[in-house]
Amino acid sequence: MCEVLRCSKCVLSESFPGIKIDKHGVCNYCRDSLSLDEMNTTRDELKAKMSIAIDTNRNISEYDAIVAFSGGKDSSFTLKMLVEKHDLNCLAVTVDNGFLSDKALDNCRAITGSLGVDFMLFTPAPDFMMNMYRQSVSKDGKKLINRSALKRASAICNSCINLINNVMVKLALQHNCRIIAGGYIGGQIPSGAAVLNIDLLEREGMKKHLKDTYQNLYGKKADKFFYLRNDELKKYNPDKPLIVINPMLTLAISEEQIIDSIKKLGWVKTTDTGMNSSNCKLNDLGIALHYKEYQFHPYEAEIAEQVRYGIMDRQKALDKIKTIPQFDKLDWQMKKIGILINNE
Amino acid sequence: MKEKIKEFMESNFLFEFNDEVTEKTNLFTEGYMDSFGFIELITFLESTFDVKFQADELTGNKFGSVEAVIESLKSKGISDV
Ligand SMILES: [Zn+2]
Repeated sequence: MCEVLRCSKCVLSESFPGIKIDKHGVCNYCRDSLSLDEMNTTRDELKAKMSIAIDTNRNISEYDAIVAFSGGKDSSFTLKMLVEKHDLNCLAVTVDNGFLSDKALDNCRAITGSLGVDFMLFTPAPDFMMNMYRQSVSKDGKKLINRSALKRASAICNSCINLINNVMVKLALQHNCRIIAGGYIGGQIPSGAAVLNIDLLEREGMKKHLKDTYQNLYGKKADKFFYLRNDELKKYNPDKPLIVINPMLTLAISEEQIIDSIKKLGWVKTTDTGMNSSNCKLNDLGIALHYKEYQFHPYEAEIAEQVRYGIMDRQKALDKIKTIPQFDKLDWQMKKIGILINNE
Repeated sequence: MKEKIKEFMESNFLFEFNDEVTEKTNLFTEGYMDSFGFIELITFLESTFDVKFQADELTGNKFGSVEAVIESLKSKGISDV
């Protein structure tokens, strides 16, 4: 395999969408990004904005926040922060996608146990999930995944993220709770997403035209997993939008610091989830399929941002993004979701 | 400047403008731009054209298509697009 050209500052490769590497070897993403000082100021502003949003929307019902909690390192750290720093009464919700590592489930129990947080495990019907994954990489299935989202995560990951988001919104409505929290870290999504207002009517409107495609590919259950029912929408007051917070976007913290912090709560590193996930055994297949189609690692954006701001060292970053999982090691995952790859 | 906006959209949202996807196409509802892509687009416009959009200027689908973006920029006094 010949060596690909990469930005000398952030490690993004020449295959990354929209990249232009100049004669000094630096990419346009680096040139256009905030300086370290500006980033620190932005983080502080977002922190303040988030605190205000939290304070305005807490103490409304039995839970202050529904937390999308995978048991992975980032969402574990997020939950810790919400409980210890913001004193929020959280409901931690894990969606078992059929590939949740046993150790990750142990971690879910350990973390919520240590923090004294109510924990809910939701397992959607496996036949639905496996079909969803299979379709997500099909030609028609790609219509359901936003093109801009593919820059940040694989199609498999995105299909799951869309489902999980909908589950969280439904739970927030059921519990009359206005805050939904996630564990996105810097580079996975723009930092402006540390605090977002979500207008559910607008959100439903934007997905309306996809309803037939969803039903054709995913069957009747698609409605339940990707849309809100009218009676659910009735519980929503447009004057009081839901807020989605991603507290880790307000921090500059390394993987090592995150792991050190949650280890104290009983978190243990998984060994069956590949190099880039700490909860999902399907993640590597998502990476392999994404790389095959687009020739860049789906974690490149987030890893590049960490290198850019000195949170991850360059060598570690290169090790991560140059290691593309091989299909011949992903046999059982492919069988389970029912796809076949011709291994050239 | 219009070309610059289109180039940004094409390369960041992984598609190409053609007979089907045009300057009128709503990139939101057609699945080319999600809410995070939207944040990226606004950041790009603000830094490229040296403007600042307020929260209330960002609602109501004023940035869904190339044409809508150009209208929004015009309303901020940037007409050289
Ligand atoms: Zn770079």
